[in-house]
Amino acid sequence: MFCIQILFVFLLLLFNNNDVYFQSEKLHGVNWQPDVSVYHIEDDKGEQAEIFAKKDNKGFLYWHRKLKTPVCLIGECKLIDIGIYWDLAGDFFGLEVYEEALTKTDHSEFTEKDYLRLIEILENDWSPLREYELSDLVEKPENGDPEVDGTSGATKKEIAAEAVVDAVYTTHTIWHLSHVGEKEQLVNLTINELNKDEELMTFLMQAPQIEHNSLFFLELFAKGELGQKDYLNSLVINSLGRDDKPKVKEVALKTLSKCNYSDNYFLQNIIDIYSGLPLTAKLQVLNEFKKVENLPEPLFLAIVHHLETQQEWYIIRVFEVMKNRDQYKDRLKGIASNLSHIDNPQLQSILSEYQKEI
Amino acid sequence: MNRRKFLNISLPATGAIMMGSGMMSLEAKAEIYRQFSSSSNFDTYDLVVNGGGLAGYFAASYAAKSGKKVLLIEKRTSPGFELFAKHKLWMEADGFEDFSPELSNLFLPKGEVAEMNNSLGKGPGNSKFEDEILLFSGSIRKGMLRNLLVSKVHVLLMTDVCGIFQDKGKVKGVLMAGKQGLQHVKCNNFIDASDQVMFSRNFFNQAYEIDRAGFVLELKNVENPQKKVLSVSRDYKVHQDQIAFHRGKLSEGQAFLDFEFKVEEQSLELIEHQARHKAALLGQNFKNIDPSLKNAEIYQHGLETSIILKDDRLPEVDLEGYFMLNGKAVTSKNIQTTNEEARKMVESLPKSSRKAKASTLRIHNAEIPLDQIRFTGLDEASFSIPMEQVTFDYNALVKDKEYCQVAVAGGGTGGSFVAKGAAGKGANTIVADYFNDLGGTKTMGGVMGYYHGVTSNGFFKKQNEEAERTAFENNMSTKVGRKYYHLKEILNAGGRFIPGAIFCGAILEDQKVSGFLVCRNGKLQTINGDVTVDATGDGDIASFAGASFSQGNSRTGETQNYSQWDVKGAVSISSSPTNRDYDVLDTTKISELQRGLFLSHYEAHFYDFHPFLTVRESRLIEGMHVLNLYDVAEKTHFKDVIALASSDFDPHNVGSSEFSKCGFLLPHSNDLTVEIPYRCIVPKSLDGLLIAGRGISQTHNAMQFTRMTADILVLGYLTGQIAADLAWTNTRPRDFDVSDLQREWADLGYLPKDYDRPSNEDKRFQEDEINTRIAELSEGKREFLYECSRLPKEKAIPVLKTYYGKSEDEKAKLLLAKALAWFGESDGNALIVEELQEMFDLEQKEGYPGGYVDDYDFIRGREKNVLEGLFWRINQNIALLAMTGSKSSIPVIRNIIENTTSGGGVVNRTNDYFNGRIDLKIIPFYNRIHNLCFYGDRIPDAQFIPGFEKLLKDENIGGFKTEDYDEVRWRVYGGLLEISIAATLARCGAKSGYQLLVNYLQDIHSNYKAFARAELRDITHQDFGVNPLKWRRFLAEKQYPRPTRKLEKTIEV
Repeated sequence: MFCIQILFVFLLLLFNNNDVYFQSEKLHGVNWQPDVSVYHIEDDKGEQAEIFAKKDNKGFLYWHRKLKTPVCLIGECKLIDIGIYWDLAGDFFGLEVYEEALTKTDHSEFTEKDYLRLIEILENDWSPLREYELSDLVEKPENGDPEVDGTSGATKKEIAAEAVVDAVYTTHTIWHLSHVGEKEQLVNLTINELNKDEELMTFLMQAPQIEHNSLFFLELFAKGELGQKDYLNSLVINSLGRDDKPKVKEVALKTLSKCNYSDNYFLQNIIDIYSGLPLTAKLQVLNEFKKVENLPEPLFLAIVHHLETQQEWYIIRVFEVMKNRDQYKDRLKGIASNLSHIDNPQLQSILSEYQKEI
Repeated sequence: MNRRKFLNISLPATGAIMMGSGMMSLEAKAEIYRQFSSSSNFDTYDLVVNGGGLAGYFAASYAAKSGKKVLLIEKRTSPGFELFAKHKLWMEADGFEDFSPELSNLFLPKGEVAEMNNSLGKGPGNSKFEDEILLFSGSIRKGMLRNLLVSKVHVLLMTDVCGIFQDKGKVKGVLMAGKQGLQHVKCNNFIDASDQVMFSRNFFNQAYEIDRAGFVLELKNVENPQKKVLSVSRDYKVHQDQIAFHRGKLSEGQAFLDFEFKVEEQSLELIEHQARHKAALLGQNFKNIDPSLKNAEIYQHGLETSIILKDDRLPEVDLEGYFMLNGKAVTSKNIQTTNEEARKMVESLPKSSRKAKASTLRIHNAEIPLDQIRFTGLDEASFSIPMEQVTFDYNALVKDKEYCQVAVAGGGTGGSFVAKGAAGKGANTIVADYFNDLGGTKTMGGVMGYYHGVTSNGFFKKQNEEAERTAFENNMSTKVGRKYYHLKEILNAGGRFIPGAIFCGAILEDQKVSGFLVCRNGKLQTINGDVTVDATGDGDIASFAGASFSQGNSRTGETQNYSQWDVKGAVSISSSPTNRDYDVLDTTKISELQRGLFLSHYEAHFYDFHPFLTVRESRLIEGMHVLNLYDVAEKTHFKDVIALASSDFDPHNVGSSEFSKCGFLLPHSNDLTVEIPYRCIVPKSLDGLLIAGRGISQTHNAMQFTRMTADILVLGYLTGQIAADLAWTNTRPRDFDVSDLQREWADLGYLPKDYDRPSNEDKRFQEDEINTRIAELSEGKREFLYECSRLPKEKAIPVLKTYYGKSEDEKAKLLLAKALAWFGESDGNALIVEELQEMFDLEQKEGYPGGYVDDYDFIRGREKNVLEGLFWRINQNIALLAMTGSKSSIPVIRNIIENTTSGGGVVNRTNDYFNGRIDLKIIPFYNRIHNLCFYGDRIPDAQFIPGFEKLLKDENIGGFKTEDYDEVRWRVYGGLLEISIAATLARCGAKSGYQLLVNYLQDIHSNYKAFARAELRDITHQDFGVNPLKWRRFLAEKQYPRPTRKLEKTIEV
């Protein structure tokens, strides 16, 4: 489904600017590098569709699909010739219309305002259009066939409100081509690129991190999709320091189990960060430490520091994290013996099981 | 094919009754309603069977056919667990030819052929594929339930046995757990036919070890499979490195993968999780497993695993009257054996007609003397199963316990995210659910689409993207992917999911809820939490704890209709789409829940239907703030806002409140975005508890705007985060300050950035606002009528009167007159009457006006919600005149009543979907007549009696009998119209009204019974309950027409 072949062609040969009838704003001024790789994804019908991997002159990766597709229901169909661009995270980036203008029900051409509205709709990755098939957009009139792009009569008004006026089917078609099923496949293509192209990975990791990209990389690391873990430690440390970016910080916490704890610099940083965290954040982090196979001793010591004075559910979580870590069993046994006074049935049950085990 | 014809074939003919098409309705009625048509005339069952698998089914059927009184209790939503719940929809063909016609018809009903799209089958029912007979899940469930009901077995679904009442070593009854709590039924004999007789193994404390578990995946898009067994890599850790492959008869691309695996732990909870992790692993690697799976997708999977014990010897039984019937692997030959064993066991049961009297209750690990148990009667009119409600001190007497910080009851759309939110905040969290999979209405009910809702919310978008990615990565349908996504997210966050839990009580100490009681696999268990979240959607836990609540329409009690959707098959049946609505139910009643499940089984498709009966509306728990229509329409900004919701007003009928009757709030009003304050999730009278989901504190009107799943899931997540903070800080919910969390959520894009702007809760009380709205109305702006209707009455009336006195513009004066009428002032009645007369004359002249309520597109999206159309404007004037209470308009109303008819039969739609909606099965003048009743209730007069009685004689209005199967199912709103006319007639003093209300005391709908009783009580100041004989005796002595009795009712916001 994905990379079958890689071809190198010259972008300018393919897309002479004269052929581009409309280009969305974000594409203006983007200078593409000449090398283009060709991959394949499955389209909505399960057919193989060509996708071009392109880089701008700074080195950022984008995906581009060029297609001619009919917009029709019953009866009249009209071909539209367009190019869709996505960023490396598979999110819609831009649209080009080739050869001739998009048209509406009454055969009039899209105005500038219509194109702006179209791009606004396409930039919304959640639209009511997602919930409807093309055939849902029209109820067949008692007499005659519905017209292409007809918004009057039975076309649901709330859907029409989410589309370019008098161009519901065109809007629906392009939105679905941009958003339904594509993102997941494009993300997989990006993962493949990042895992095989060291240069690209290095560039992207060293480039100034915009929030969108940081989140994307961190989530890929959190899922274990990216092999080059060397970058992860610094990305995590930097991200955990971003108090101004709570989303980034939140996802960074979730990648902790994937980090390299043999890196002393990283380890010391994490211990410092952990010690300064509020209780609920510590619990989140503990949940990630639970998944770390070899928990280094300095980190163990930071976690159990003054454990007997901590909140009882925190203690429970610590013992859960330490379960089956034989290297710490004696010290944990000692700690457990000092906790018998805490009146929490769950804790007592865990301690009793724990002491049996060790 | 019309709907009735489809229904004829959707009922499997039984061996007992081979029905002709004309007989279908009568028989269906008799079968379904036998349990709900009269009170019990006995108090002790001869036999109670635990478990509706094949063994229990055969035993119950034989016993009932031999004249015994039998109750079958099944914890799942359908009988036939070996087949449908395990999803093992095949059996060895060898031996099938020996089946009796009745048995053969049970497995392969003729009607299912219409849904089969794999033409490669041969033999019986075209269902033989090589050496296997292939089955449909729906067929089995429909057929088994119907046969049980035909055999006059009493059946309780979604109910589990969790204890035995005993005396001197003999069985005297059973303790049952269900959605409505714990109940006791008496019996002299008990057969445990639960899966692997697990109830008995636990009850008698037999040590057992689970060796392996099995799980079944249903696939679609399988291409040309060649093998019957797939050998797979050891990495998958499936038993013998093999997966059995079975064809499907739904389509050529359908197939089943059946695998077993060594269990990692003995916990049934973890075994269920393990099966799903394994399914995901296999799904990810379909391409590597077999070429036929290259494009395959996991379309569904089993609802539960199959358990294989190391040693399946039966436990020692120490109770007389206690028997066990262990089922066998499903093959044609084994079915015959099971059938025979069941027959022999039933024949050997001791005969006894004694009334059972117990001395103790025995549950797992405890024996409870009866003096520690409270028995109370049930509020279930005309319910044939003799049972009592049971309560005791759960915390003290139930020994099996779990402890956590946040205990979440219900893992549906809201509850799954409550758990994610709480666990994500580091709280030790347990979420429990009835099903073994999370996601509730969406995943188990199949309602996967999003309608309305604030879909721009950052959390909503994030979760959807993640769930879709889970489905994509594991080659799962979005529905299966979402189930797995929920499980993964909760476990990854350190939370715990306890599946298979029936909620049956609350742990309550001094008005503080500290957890809930569940029944799991026949064992009672308490889930104790520092904070409890009721995410049942129906407010079950809050209700167990004694919280006050409202439900449905404040007068008639009806809620929105329920659904139980089919699973989309390979063949679509145009007259019977998969997303049908059924009936109006009160699922807080045992009998109503059962009736709903029975109806769904009778009408479902053969291929498969979702296990979850989806309910749109149930209890709304009273909280520290009750969100109402004023909050919604005024777009109130609350200082403690925690989430937003967005929808149009869609009550699935015209709407019951004065705002709707007066034309201000009609279905499909323009979308509104509503703020939900924290106080709405905090129960008013209980501590330790939060409410999540649609059961939050709000009115019936407000709920229409807040119940969309996109909003419920975001609210759930944020509720979970609050619960975690409450637990960590040991704070009472009512004392919690939500501002820190608000800031956090705003930063994450889960709340608008300007959440901390000043509150406008008192906007409609401000003098400037009142003056502005009334001034605009006095300019003749019609849209301000609705704006003015929401002003405080005492402040608005003087201003309105001033403007009315000064106004010289005819149109403006009429609008001011209408506003005054809304507030009960009759200053401008003459103007309203004049306009009404003109409009009615025009309607009479021009004929039927069109644009009535079922024309959704007509009333959808009206600009500024201004009322349009002659039909509705006439209705509005009628209702506004009623609000004044002034008798001056009686002549014009009388004229309208006497010149109103039904307008014809139920309006036929051009679209199958709309034709299948019971809320649209109404006559043209349905809403007109309701508004005339609205008037007659408030200004009752004997002059109206002839007119209303004439309406009742209209063949499309009166004579409605809701016990008729067709009528209940399809004209539930017709029943509402008839009972409404009856109430109005009674208020006007007519004997016919009283008589009809008494008839409705025996209606099959719980809410109609309750409405009829409440009206009779209010009008007569007497109460004979729902006993028609007593009411008739009382009413026979009266003179008619009786004095009128005006309806006193506050405006429902």
